[in-house]
Amino acid sequence: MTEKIVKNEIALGVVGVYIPTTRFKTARLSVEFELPLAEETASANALLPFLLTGCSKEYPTSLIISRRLDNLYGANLECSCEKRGDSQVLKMSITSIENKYSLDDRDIVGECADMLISLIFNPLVENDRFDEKSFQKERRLMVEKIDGEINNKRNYALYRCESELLKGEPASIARYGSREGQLALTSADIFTAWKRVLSTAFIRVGYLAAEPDESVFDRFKSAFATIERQPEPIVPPVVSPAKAIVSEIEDRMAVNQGKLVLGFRSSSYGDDRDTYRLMVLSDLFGGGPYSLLFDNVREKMSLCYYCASRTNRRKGFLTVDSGVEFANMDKTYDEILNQLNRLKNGDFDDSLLDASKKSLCESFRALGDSQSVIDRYYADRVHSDNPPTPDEMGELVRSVTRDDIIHVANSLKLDTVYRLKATEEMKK
Amino acid sequence: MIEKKLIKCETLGESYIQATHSSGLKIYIMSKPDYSSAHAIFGTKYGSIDTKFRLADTDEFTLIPEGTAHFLEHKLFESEDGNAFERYAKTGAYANAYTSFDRTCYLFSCTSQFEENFDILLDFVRHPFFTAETVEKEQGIIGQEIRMYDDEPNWRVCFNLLSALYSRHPVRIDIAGTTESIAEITADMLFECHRNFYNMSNMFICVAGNVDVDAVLDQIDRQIDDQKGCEVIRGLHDEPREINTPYVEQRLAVAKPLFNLGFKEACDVPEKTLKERIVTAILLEIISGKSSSLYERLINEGLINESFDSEYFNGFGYAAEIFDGESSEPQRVADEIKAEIKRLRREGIDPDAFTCAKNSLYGQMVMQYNVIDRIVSDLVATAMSGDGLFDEMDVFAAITLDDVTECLNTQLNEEYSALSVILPTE
Repeated sequence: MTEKIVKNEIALGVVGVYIPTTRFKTARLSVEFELPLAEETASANALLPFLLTGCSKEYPTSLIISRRLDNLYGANLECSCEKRGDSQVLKMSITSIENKYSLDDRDIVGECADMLISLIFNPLVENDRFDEKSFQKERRLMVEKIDGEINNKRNYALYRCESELLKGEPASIARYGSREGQLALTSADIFTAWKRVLSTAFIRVGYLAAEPDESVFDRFKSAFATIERQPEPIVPPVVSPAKAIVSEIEDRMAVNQGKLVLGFRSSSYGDDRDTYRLMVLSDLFGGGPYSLLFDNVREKMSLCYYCASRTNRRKGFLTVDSGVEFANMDKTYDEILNQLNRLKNGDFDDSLLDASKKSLCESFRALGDSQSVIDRYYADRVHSDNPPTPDEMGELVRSVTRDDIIHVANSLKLDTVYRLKATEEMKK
Repeated sequence: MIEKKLIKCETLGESYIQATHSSGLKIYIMSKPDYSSAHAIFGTKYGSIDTKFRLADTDEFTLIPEGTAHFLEHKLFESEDGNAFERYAKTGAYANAYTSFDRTCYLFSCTSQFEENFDILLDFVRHPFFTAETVEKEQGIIGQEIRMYDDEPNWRVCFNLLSALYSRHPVRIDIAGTTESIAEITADMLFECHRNFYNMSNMFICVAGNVDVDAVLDQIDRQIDDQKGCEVIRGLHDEPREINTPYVEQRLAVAKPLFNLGFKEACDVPEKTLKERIVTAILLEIISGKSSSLYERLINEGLINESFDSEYFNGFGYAAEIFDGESSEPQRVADEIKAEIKRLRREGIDPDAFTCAKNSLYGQMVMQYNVIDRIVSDLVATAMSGDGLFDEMDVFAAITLDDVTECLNTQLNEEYSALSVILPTE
């Protein structure tokens, strides 16, 4: 990643970013809409990218869209809705083979850009409503996505712990809003959301390809020229201290294995340096197979298959999760806290700190080998004027000291404990 | 001693080295100097289905407990003076391993110190160390892994289908085995399996990314001695043509029922050819891909959601087309799929749909050369099947609508189909 990233303003609060990626056979075009997370708008916002990629005036059904993508040599049209700090981010992207691999000399990349613009700016609306049939279909799929989150017990347990930990903050709102919120929507609400998102969201258009192509951004400039932009400022995420009393929550389901999640808050989380400190701490606590939790909870005590730590760098919290026998839950809980105490007391080898730093540096250096990963890396840092390159991130990680780890460990306070247990029937 | 040849693909602008070491070890290397990382896999043709085997120099078959290959994978990371993860921790490489139905692979990826990492890989995979104590400890860890999968509905619905389709073939058993079967595993058994399956004639090395091909070959030649191991012969399991049972269900904590509909294919010769695999993939795309009329109808009628998918699942002695998804009416979806297959047989495949499916799959084939770990996986598939990595481009280009029509008329027989359903708990 030595080539230069080029930023340009497409419209007010709409930034175009060209990232040169010479090693791939594909070109990627992505558009992200960032909005503040709020109960009133979360459900409608979440449905929007799914509806926009499911129908438009030019491509009225998902079958027509799908056949068009086949014709573009299997171009990959994706959309998602995610949380970033206290924001909701709606993402749409299209990835296709670069023109030189086309078997019939077409401008595949240009055709893909036109298609994405057509989907975003020319949706299937009439009389200020989205097409009712498409709306009903996408909403059903969304409700099933929300309902289906229970299927993956590990992710569900993490989600339950995080929602409790973040209670009262915008980030506690689920990325898709709520089931009830979805069911209350009308096709007119989504039309209003579409208008609002195009006008007020902070927008990033990313283009990743071997060669820059001004025409790609020019197409977006023309499209945005028709929109009256009134961007809402994006406020930095709130970082709160741990609750005075630890929240303990528990669900019961027909499961064979228990899930235990511990959520910690850092009491002194503020500047950028804390991000790297917490990242390194999390890695040596429960990241790689050299980490304290892997080595002790799994390898020495045979309590689990996984016991892992992860952080949310924007909100400054850390979670540890494990899948264990119901009878071993307390023992696992004690051991996780015991291992954290070791970090607090500085009871760990320097070799462990080195291992974590090396492993993290390796992963930063490898980022540029995936087009979607490098896109996400810079999209996540879109608000920094001069974001560190992955190599510079490596340097920052290397600067973390043993004292930093002890300091951050001592700043961690248990906030929430989540347990998933078996129903009485399952125990029999 | 290593014999090597360079294999090129003009369309893709890619090439790789295929080599054979005098020990019988097969080597595949694709150099991608403009990438930062390199990935390497040291693998053996030994997976969960290998519960019955013999060595080429004996007549008698040996039986081993289900889950042994996966158990061995977990244990091989340990040595007398620590484990391989501790050694990788010094270089920062990402290391892991996986066991599937027909193979066990040990891998690492790194952006620096390739030679040191490759030394660790070549060393620990060839030097087993097990004791009664470490075997017992692992039974606890793998026991929890099995438990985790017991709660994984997508995993359960698939293995329930496989046990409905197959009566004897070990593909019907969970890759990790069962709590009972792994309790039978002993240190001696693991040593014996290692001696048999981890001999170089049964193994392969695949590398892709930022590496110097000759340096990698030299390193292999320095480390691996020339002694040729004995070939391992996989045992067949007298699997009948018929399915075991047409319907199987289980209740789990899920929001909506999950289903797998499978069509068991005859395996007169144990493995399907590359052409058979690609033709079937194109056919499945035509029947139920996102551009099919079936997909559109089912999704518009609220019968499926975006999880709906299909694949041609095949390996040594097993082959089945599998349609999977979530639906409040799994039986009705199964009936609709079967009806669509009949309709296509009656009315013929639309030539446009054939072209569409082919175009789309072509693009996906080109795109897979973007991602280093994907390339390494494809090299492993090459090592397993014996086909060339780029053969699929040529075979693919030559496939006609007639090939796909013939596939439609001979495969996907209802008589050999089974439906597996996971229902929500009451």
